[in-house]
Amino acid sequence: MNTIDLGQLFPAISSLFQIDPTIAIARIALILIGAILAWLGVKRITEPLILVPMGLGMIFVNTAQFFLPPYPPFPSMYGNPHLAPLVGSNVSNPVMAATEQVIASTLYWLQPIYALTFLNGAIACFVFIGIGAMTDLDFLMAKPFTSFFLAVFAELGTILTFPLAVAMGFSYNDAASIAIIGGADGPMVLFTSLKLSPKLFVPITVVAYLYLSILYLFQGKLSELTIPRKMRMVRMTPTDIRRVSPREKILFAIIAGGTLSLLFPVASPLIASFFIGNVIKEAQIERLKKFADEVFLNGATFFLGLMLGILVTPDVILDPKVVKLLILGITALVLSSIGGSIGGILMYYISRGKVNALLGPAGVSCVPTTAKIAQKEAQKLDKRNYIIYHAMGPNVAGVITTAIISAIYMTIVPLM
Amino acid sequence: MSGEILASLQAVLITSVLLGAIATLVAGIIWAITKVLSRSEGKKK
Amino acid sequence: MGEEVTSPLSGKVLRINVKPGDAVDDSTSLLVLESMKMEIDIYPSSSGKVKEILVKEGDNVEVGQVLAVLE
Repeated sequence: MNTIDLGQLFPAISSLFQIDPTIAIARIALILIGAILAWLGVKRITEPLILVPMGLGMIFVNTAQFFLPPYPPFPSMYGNPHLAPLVGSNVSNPVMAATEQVIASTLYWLQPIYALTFLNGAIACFVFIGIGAMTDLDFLMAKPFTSFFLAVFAELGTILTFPLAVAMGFSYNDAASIAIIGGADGPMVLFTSLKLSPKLFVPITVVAYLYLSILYLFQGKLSELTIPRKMRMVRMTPTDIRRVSPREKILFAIIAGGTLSLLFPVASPLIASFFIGNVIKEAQIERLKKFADEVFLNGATFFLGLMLGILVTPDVILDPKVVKLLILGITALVLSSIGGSIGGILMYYISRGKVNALLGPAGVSCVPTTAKIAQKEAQKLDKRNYIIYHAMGPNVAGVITTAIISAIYMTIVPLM
Repeated sequence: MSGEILASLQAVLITSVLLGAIATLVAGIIWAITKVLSRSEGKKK
Repeated sequence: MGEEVTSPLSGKVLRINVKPGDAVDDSTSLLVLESMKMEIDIYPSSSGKVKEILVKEGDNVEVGQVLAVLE
């Protein structure tokens, strides 16, 4: 009988000393980063829904992984996304075969979820059905032109980051995916980057979610810096908003959803999902609404976070592009927020001082975070100013404008 | 390289114009629905 | 002079911070409403003494509903 090699008994530990030290350090760093992310979420310093499962995924994939596979964990990431789940690795190589066996227990257990819901972008659509089912269209429909005006300005980062990213050396496809971070809409970033940049979708989406979870830390400050105090003090009465009948909302969901699908078939899955959620809600189909809003949205959000975390292996952060991504991601969000302020200030003048300029940054479409930030900022100056309902208009319009931009990018980039 | 930047600037210019147009279209759809429905409701009364 | 504090938003009463007899001014949060998944403090427009609170924690309130009466 052979003696048992301790290194083989604990391969995840022994591999730390066998692999390239940079990779070993990256692995340890990722375990720590994962722990920090999870902790921030648990402490509610950041939004926990995505970050906690994501952080946990990062911890466990990097503790268990004993060998950095020379092939990507899910082959699809670097190859043809549609063949991915079917393509095996090089089984004739015994080291790789052994690697795969262990990876099977730590990484591949989520492979079915990946193959069924990530490759085709379905997970983003599931989230969107849920968002649709919890979104009130009332405020948007009561003030359609104001809402869309503000939301368009709040896409500044989504527009400007595209040429910026190209200037920093990214391909058109990657640049467009990165620019969508400025739309402040996680599932939209995932959907677009899966379509346009299958090789970079993990870091792009992770960066997007990271920044979105800390958006409230800096957007309020940015609004204070960019909008004059008196424009933030405009009092808006919640009762000014007229009631919109469910019939109107259902008609809108169907006509707008149909029109946008007709214009942009590539983005139709996302657009359809959002408006399907809306109709379920407005038609008051309680059981479907509960399913979409509570079960579907929460389940999809959980798996989205966990799966993304599990995909963050050392090769992802050792890619030098990640630093540029971190810079471009925050640039996109800051630019969008400033664009929102510009729109808000313009609207203040157009409305002759009736519209609080804080509604502008609320057009950055992170529902409902940015509307909440606007409310907080308004209440800082005037305790009895409740602009939240008014802020929801541009906020929801922002979801639609971000969908439009990502649809245009997905259509235009392959033509470039 | 600069050709690529130029191309991307052109792309975002087209994108901005399209975004403005489509956002106006969607807002217009809302406005039209509101108008038509309020008229048909007016007739009932 | 009494003041009726009405609800500016529709939502759920999350917490009530004052009780009848308390002296309040326009920077005292009377209660916290949960609306659009956000906690929002409700302040009176003048100072006075709480005469009556017409809602309890967990109540769903509509826009314009009277929450409390001051005197």
